[in-house]
Amino acid sequence: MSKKMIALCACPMGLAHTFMSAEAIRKAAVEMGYDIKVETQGADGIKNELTATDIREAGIIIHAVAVTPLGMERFEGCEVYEVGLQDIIKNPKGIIKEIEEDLAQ
Amino acid sequence: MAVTKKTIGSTSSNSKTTETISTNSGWLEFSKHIMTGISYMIPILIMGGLIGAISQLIPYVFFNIDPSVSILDAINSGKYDGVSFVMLQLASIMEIFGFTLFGFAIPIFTAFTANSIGGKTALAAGFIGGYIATKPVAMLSLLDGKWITKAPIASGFLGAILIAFIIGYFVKWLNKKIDMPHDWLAFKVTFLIPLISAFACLVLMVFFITPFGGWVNTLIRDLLQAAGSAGQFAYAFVLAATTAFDLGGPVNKAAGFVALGFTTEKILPVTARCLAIVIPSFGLGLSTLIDRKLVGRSVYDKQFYQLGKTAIFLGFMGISEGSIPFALERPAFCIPLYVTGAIIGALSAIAMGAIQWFPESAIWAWPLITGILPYILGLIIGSTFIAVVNVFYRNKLIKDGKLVVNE
Repeated sequence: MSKKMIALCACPMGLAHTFMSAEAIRKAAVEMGYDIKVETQGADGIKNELTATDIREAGIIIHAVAVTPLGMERFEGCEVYEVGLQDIIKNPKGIIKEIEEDLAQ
Repeated sequence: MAVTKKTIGSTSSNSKTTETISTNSGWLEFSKHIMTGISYMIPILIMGGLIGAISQLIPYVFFNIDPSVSILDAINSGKYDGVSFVMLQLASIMEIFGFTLFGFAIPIFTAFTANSIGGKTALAAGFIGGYIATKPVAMLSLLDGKWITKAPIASGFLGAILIAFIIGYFVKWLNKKIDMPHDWLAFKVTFLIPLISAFACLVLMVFFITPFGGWVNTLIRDLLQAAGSAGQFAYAFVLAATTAFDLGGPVNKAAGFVALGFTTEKILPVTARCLAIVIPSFGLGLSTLIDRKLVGRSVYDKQFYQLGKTAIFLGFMGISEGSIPFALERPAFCIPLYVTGAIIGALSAIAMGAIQWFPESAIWAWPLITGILPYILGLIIGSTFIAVVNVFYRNKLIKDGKLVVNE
């Protein structure tokens, strides 16, 4: 299994939750030994944009979103785990473990 | 945990759920579409709001004109000449410009909500629907034997939500159901679906949503007027509670949506919401400032003292997100506390006579409040309540050994 994980974060205002969830995912993923890249779609636009290569190489794709993000066509055909922003901020490791368990099945 | 597994693609709608999410995934989808619309609408509201607010500052704060006198009347009064006359003209232009921008808020909301559901064609159809929700199509009616055109009552926000969802899902359904050979794709997406969607918009808006929405809006207005001040306080109570509850989250935005409809149509003021947005931040921020004076020790971890100052600063900017770290740290106590504080603050301000029609709680909107003193008093009462209760509660927890603070 590839140990690369990518995530996309977006909240309605693009001020707080977007960046809090991005930070939570980044921290948890690094501690769990993943190669991580997180795109944020905040009020300041798209930062750290995920490229086609990132998406192709990723073993796990997480969408931590409360809105429909921009550029969804990039993920055409991909399996994506969509999670609530509050949940991932509170318990990033638990959610990543849950995804790992699901992938192991 | 709420984890949904999805395969992204235009045709596959078989989203498998891994865990116990099926109960509320319908609601989640619904809220996601609304939130998308709202997130695109907010910049318009900010721009229109800023221009509109500055236009009001010129006559009513700098020139001290009575708020019941419109800018146009002030220009016509002949009392102003030279620089003040030019300033008033500028204010008038900015006022009209600001309200024109506000007029785009609803169409933008419907356009992007529909886009979130059904893609680009839905975006266009949603924009049309939203526009008609604010400016209804004039209907023919017979007056003294002559046919005239007369615009009905607008369906407003209610109509906007209805048309956004109906047209969004309708376009999505059309795209899926109309199956044509590949050579005909251009015909389908550039002619057939736009034609059907635009026509559906026309029929729905003119014959169903506008009459229904207009009827509901009139009904609500009559009900609230009949209920008098009791109705206003009940409204303020609910508005303050829902606004404060999740600090800028979905519940807050939904409440804002309803309140915005009432305030732009001058049915009910948005005072309670403006206060409830900032009271949690002021209150929780304040508890990091007064704890050492009140109980002689720090009741929060070190990093919260910086966060507290940030929360207060963001509060002056009319942003509630600064309180989120405090809420996450001890939600079971913190959320009921700041909701109560917001209700107490909002109700006392309103009882003392504060009225704010302008949907913005940042400090630069304060001059637009009627009764600024009651407003600030309400703000102080609510914030102090939160700060004092919070400090004493946390101090007790520390004494009981249930809470360890890293100073």
